Amino acid sequence: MILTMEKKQIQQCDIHFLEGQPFKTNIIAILLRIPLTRQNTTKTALLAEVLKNGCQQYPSRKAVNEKMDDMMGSVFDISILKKGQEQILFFYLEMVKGELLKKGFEFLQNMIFSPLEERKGFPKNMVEREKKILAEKIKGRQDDKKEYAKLRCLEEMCKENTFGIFADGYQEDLKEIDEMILLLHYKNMLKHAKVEIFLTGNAEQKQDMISMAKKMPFQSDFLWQAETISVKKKKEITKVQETLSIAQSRIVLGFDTNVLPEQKEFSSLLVCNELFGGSPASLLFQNVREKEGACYDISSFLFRLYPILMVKAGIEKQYYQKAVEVIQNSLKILQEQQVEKQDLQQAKESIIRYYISMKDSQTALMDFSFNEWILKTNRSIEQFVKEIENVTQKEVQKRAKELTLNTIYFLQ
Amino acid sequence: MEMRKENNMIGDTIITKKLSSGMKCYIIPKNGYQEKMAVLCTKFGSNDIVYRRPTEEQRHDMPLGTAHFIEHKLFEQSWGDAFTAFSKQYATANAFTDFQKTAYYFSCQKNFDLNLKLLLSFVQHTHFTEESTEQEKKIIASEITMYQDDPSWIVFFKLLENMYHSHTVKNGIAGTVDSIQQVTKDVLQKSYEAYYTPENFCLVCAGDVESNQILEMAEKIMKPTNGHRAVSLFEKEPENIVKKYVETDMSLIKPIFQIGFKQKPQEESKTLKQVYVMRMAMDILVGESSPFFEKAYQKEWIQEPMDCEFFSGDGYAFTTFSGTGKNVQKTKELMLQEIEEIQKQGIAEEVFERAKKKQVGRMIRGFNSIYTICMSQLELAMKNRDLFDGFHTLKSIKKEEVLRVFQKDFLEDNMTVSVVV
Repeated sequence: MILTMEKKQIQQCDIHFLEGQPFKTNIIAILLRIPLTRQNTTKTALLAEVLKNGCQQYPSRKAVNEKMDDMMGSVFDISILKKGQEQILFFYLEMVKGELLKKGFEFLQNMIFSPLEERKGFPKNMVEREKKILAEKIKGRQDDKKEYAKLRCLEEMCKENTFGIFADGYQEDLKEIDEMILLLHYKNMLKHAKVEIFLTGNAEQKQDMISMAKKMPFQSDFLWQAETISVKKKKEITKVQETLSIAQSRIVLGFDTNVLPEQKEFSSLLVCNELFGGSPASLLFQNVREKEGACYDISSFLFRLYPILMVKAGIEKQYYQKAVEVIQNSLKILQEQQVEKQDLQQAKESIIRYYISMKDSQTALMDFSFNEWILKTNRSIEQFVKEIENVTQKEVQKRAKELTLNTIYFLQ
Repeated sequence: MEMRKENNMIGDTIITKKLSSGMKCYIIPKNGYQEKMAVLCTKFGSNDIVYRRPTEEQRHDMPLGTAHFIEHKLFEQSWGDAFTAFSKQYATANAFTDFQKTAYYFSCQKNFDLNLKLLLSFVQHTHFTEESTEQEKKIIASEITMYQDDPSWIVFFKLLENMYHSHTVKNGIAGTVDSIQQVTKDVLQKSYEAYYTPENFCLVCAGDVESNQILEMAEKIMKPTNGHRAVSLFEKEPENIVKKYVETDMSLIKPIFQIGFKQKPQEESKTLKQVYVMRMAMDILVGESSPFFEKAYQKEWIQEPMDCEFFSGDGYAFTTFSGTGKNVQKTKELMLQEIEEIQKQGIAEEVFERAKKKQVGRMIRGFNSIYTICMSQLELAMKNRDLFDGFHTLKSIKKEEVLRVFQKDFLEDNMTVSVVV
C-alpha cells in the first residue's frame, strides 16, 4: 500500500489525502478545531447533537438517514474529539467507493453550511430536546466507573491548564445555552475554527476528491488559537478521594512525564510505558497482580498529545496503601535496574506491531496523520517505527527517572 | 475439491476446500494488509449438552457449560501453555464460546505459518488433569458471578427465559456455578472426543496469505479421526412463549430493556436467506430511517437507535431489540402499531430498495477489516456457506419475503419484554 499526503492551502483549511488502495470505502472527514475552553465546551458538545438532526435540504434525522441508506448504506456521524488543548467538531462520512463522491461532498456541504434555522437560532424544540438528552449522557458519565476515575484524575491534574476540561460538556452549563446562542457559536466556529479535511481513496480518485474538497466554502483569515502546552514543575503530590456507590474501588495515579509529545524522546517514553504497565508482561501487571494479588486489573497508559502517564487499577478498598506502594516500587525497579535485552525487544515489537497495524484501518491512519499534523512532526508510520526501533535501554531508564507523581485519585 | 470464487462487486476472492480429514477451509486473501488472522472453530457450543453417536443408541448427557469449560482448558498442553506460545511468536490469541460453536483464533504480522501450525496442532491435543480441572472451576465460577453483575447479560438471558420452556439456549454460555461442579476430567475428555473431530472443524484465514501454503499445511497437520461425529439432541420446544414480561432490579441510573420475538426455526436450507431477510425487516421496523425511530426519538422515549439482532440455530430462532430508557411500555406499543401498519399497508418499494442498498453497502464495507471478514465468514461456515453466497442471497431477496416476517414473526403473541432497572 502506498501512503501519500497532500496539503493544499485554502485559507483557513488544509486538505489531506491518504491513499489506500485495498479499502472498499472512501472517507471524507471534516474537523473544525477550536481551543478547549470551559466557556465553549458545552456549546460545542451540544452542537454535535443538534446538527445531527439535519439541514435545510434534509430536515430531520429520518431524512438524513434515508439519504445515507440511499447512498449504499453510507455512514455519517458528527462527534466531539479532544486533542491536546483543542476541542474538535468532527464530521465523518464513509461511502462505498464508486459513484458516490460527488453526492457525498454535496451532502456534507449542506449539513455544514445550511443548518436548520428558525428566526435567529436553531429550531427551539430541537435544541431543548437535545439539551435534555445531552444532560442524561453527561450524568451517565458516572456509570462507567473506570472511565470516570480516569477523567477525574485528569481534571485534578490539569487545574492550571485546559487539558482537564471535559470535551463532552457540563450539565450545569447547559441552562445558559439557548437556540440563538448556539447558532451564533456555530457561525463563529465556521468562521474562526482551523479546518482540516481528511480524504481517503485510490490514487486515481485523488485529483477529483481534492478539487471537490477545495470547493467547500471555508474562507476566513482570523483563527482562534490554542495556547501551547507548558510543563510546570510541581513539588507536592495531590491526593483526592471520592465516594460513589461502587463494588470495586478504583485508583488512578497521574504522573508528569516531562516529555512534550512532539519531542523525539516520546518514542522511548512509549517503550518505557510498555515495560512499566503497558502489557501483561509488564512490571505492574506482574508485581501487583500476579505476586501481590492485590487488584483485579492494572495498567499504565500515555496520552499522545499531553505529557501525562497514568496508572489505573481496580482494587479492594483496604489495599489502597499497598497498591500505591507496589506501583511506586515497580517504577523504582524500572528506574534503577537494567531492562533485559529480550524484554526491551519484546516491548518494542509490540509497539511496532500496533503502529504497523494502523495501516489496516483508514480511521487509524487518519488519526495517526492528524496527530502528527497537530504536533508539526509529520512523520510517516515507517519513520515513527524506525524511531522506536532505535530506542536504547539507557533512554528508557532516563524516561523512567523523569516520571514524577503528580496526583493520586481514589474512588471508593 | 478446491473452489475459487471471485466477486467483482466486492473485488475479493474466496478459496474454499474440504480437506481429506473432513475439515472445511475458507481463505480470503487480502493483499496489502499487515495483519493476518486465522480462526479455527468446532461446532460445539453451549447448546450442545446431549449427544448420540450415529453408531450407538445411547444418549450422553453433559453438564451445562461443558463446551466453555473445554475452551478454558484446551490452551493448557502437555508441553506448556499455548496462549503464551502464541505471544512468544508475536501473535495475539484468544477464544470464545457461543450457543453453537467454540472458536480459537490468533492474529499476527510475523510468523503466520508458525502460528497456524500451532493453532492446528493444539486443538488436536488435550492435557486435562484432575487438579487443573478443579482449579478451573473457581475461575469459571467467578466468571459466572461476574456476568451476574452485567446488566446487558442479565437483560438478555431473562428475555430468553421468557421465551423458552425447555431449549438449552435459555441457559448461560458458561453454565451455572452448580452445573460446572459436575465437570470432571473424564467429562471433558469424552465431550472433546465427541465434538473435536475434523468433520466438525472449520478454518477461516484472511490477510496477505498464500492459500496454497495454508491448505497444504492444514492437510498435513489435521489428522482424520474415525469419522463418528456426534449428533446433538434437543428437547422439543413449544412454539409459544413462557411469559410476556420480566423486571430485574440492579439499581441502574439508566434502565435498559430488550424486546424479543420468538420465532419458528426454519429448515436448514432456508436459514441463510432468513438471516438477511431478518436484518432487512429489523432495519425497516426500527432503523434510523423508520417512522418508529422518528416518533420514539421526537417523544424522547429513546435516545439512540435500537440495537437489533437475530439468532438462529438448531431448534431455536429469535429476534431482540435493545434500548435504554424508562419508556419501555410506550416503546413496545409504538412498535406494535408500526408492525400493524406494515401488515396492513405493506412495504413501500422505495423503503425496501433503500433497506437492501444499505445492507449491500454495509456488507461491502465489512471487507475493509480482516477481523470482520473472519468473523462473518465463520458465522456462514456454520451453515456451510461462504461470504459470497451470503452476498448473492442478500441481493436476491424479494419484498414479499420481508413482508412475511411482519405477518408471521413479528406478532404480539410471540413478543416478550425484559427490563433491568
